Amino acid sequence: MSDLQLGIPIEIEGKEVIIVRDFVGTKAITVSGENEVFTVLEPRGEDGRPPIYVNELELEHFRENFPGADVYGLWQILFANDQVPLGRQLSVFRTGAMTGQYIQMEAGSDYSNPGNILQSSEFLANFLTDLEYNLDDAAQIEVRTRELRLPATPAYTRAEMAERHRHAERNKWYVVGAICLAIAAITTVYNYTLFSFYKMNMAEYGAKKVQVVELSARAEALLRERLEDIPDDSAVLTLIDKIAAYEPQISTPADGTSPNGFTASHVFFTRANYPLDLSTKIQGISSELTPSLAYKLTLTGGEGVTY
Amino acid sequence: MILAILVALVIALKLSMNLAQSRTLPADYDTVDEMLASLQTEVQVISRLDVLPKLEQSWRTASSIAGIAGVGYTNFEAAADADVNRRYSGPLKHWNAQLEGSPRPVIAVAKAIQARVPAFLYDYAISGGVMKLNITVVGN
Repeated sequence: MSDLQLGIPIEIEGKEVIIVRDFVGTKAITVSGENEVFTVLEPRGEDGRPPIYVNELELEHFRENFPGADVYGLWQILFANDQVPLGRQLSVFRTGAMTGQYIQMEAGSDYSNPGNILQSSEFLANFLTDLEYNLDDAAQIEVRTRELRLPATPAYTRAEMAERHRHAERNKWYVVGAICLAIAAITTVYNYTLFSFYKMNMAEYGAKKVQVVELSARAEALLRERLEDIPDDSAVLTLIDKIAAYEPQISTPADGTSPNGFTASHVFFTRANYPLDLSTKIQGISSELTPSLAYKLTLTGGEGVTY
Repeated sequence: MILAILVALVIALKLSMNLAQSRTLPADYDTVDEMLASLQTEVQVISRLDVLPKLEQSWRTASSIAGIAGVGYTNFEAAADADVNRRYSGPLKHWNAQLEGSPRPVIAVAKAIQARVPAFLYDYAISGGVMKLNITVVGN
């Protein structure tokens, strides 16, 4: 027989815990009394095992008598430790010579599939109330407490679960708050750093701008007394002089629309019937015969320069 | 909760973007160094130039050159509204003159003046064997 005793403090994994009766499958709790309140201890398992429930009144009773001790369900701990062999219609855990708990499979189903568990129940005096079955044919469950591991979570009453849920929610919000704070802090640091660089760059830029203004003013002041290029129009003057040497009666356009000038263009007219095309004699001018048989001469190389 | 984090992220991003806009550097930020260097070179070049002779002295010289050649040399004020390209508009102290005479002597005088004193040549007209040329003598 197992050394796992129900309803009293025992030690598993060095921790004082209480193992209580629990119920596998919804069928087990529908046959209970009206005042019974059941709390889910373990939801439906991944292998199809029905949910495991615990009687909340019993749980509260243990809380009062053994405050601080974690409470686990019998089937919860057995399933968690893979100690329910199945394979038969009944798997039995004996709590005494004539008493025990059992798991009943759907009759005629695959007895190895946890999904076919019908319910858990208990027997007294080796007698099953609603089933004719020889208990000796059942799969026997034998465990040693020192070999057992505790399931992930103990049993909680609904109030405790609500409190735990609230606590978990609160913790989540703390995490969210921390993340938001972190975002704010990162944003602040990021922007502050970039702003510092910006300020530095702008200070440097401002200083350079001042220098630019000072230098511009200095250049301007210097240019009030100096000239970078001393004006020299001797080449153009020589050309005009050559034209005037060939044709002393040369004139400039009289209409005033295109006055001749050293910042504009140089255009001349010879007298009418002038016999010579001067562009053949002087390089740097072009000529054009006008209807009055005067030549219109234009300096090609001496286009206006802006001072 | 995810929403709260998302909202915080969006606010942070939006804020950063707005602040980034206010951190925009001036358009000429990258070229200010170049500008400064070219200005420094320019100032160095200009400061190495000789200071121009006094305007009065240059004016006298120009006037003498014209007088010796028998070319008219009269003070001539260009109209204030004249095209800025047709008259002197720089920072130097300047006086304007008009040379008047036969074309070849006027051209010879203009050449001689430019060879001796800083002077800019502007508009001219030749008609009936007479040439009129506007010049501007500059100095300090």
